[in-house]
Amino acid sequence: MEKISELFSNHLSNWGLVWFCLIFWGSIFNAILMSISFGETSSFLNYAGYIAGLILGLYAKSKKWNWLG
Amino acid sequence: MSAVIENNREDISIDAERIVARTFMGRIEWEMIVVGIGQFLIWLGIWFMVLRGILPLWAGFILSTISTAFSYLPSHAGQHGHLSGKHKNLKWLNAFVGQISLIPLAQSHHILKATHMKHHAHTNNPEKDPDYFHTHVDHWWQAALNVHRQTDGGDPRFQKMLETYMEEDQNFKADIDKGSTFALMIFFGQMLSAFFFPLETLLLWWIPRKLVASYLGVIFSHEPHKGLPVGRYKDTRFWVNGIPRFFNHSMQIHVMHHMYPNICHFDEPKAIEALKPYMIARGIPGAEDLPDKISYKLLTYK
Repeated sequence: MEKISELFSNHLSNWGLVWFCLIFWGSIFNAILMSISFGETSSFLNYAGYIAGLILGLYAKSKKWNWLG
Repeated sequence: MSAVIENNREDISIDAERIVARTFMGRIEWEMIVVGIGQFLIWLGIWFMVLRGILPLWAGFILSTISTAFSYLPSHAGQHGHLSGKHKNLKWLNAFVGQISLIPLAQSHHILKATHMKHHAHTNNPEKDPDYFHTHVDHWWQAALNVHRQTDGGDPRFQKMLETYMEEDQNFKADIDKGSTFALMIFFGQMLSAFFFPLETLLLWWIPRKLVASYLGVIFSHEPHKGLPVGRYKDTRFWVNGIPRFFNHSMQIHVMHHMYPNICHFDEPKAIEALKPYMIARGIPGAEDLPDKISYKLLTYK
């Protein structure tokens, strides 16, 4: 149990910002995209916000932009 | 209290200073309990009204930012044990109210307590003061930006300082470990909140807490300590910025807190009036210009 907890903690230390950007910023980008898109939404648009969030997270990790968290 | 102050008026020794200061210590700072719980309930109320469509999101954003600005001081009072006063059986109040109060700011009470105690022990020391990197900068906007590198752990110098304290100080480590659990809950809580209420989370939580962290960095750290040396009576100053003291969370008189951290925030004006002769005698920056009465409004110099 302690080993799992340590692995989880290490994973979050390294990848927490990426997860945060994917879910937190991805949800926000997605909501903005939905609110500005007119007419029928394509399936791509449903995921575009989360893809943008993931890209932002990877970039933020490389740049150490922890303030995004 | 006033008899003790009168009896020691001619004596400006350290012992006399302590006797006078002690008359302001030990009570339960109930005002901070009200502010801590109250601002959190207001923050929840703003969420409720926005989600129910009673309040527009833009108005919620403004109100949430104002409300969140009140979230740090109750935790700070808890960090110093002001919420329980001298009552040992009420010590739980410090962490309980302190943590609830910090939810809008998405911070852990125990982690802030650990670093804040080190700030008091080593104020303005570049090697040991965790607040040093956003305090001692050339401009206020640098403090406003740099403070985020501390609250989010992005500053490697701050990280190195934390690691050293974790190795050297078991109490510090215990507080960080205790606080990490709550920090994790806040981390997941924000993601969950954004998933279900994305724009509301951005405008009622994320942006307000970032703005308030900047405000704290400038008003609570940079202005009272910038450019000052290490030393009990030299590390903090009285300052004015043309805005009434009340709107700066009384940080213009933050020097009283550094002189005697056990004096409650709401008792500081009275304590300053009583301790003014000692402050002048010790050469505290700005003490000689203080008015005899500290009003609720502008901290006007003579």
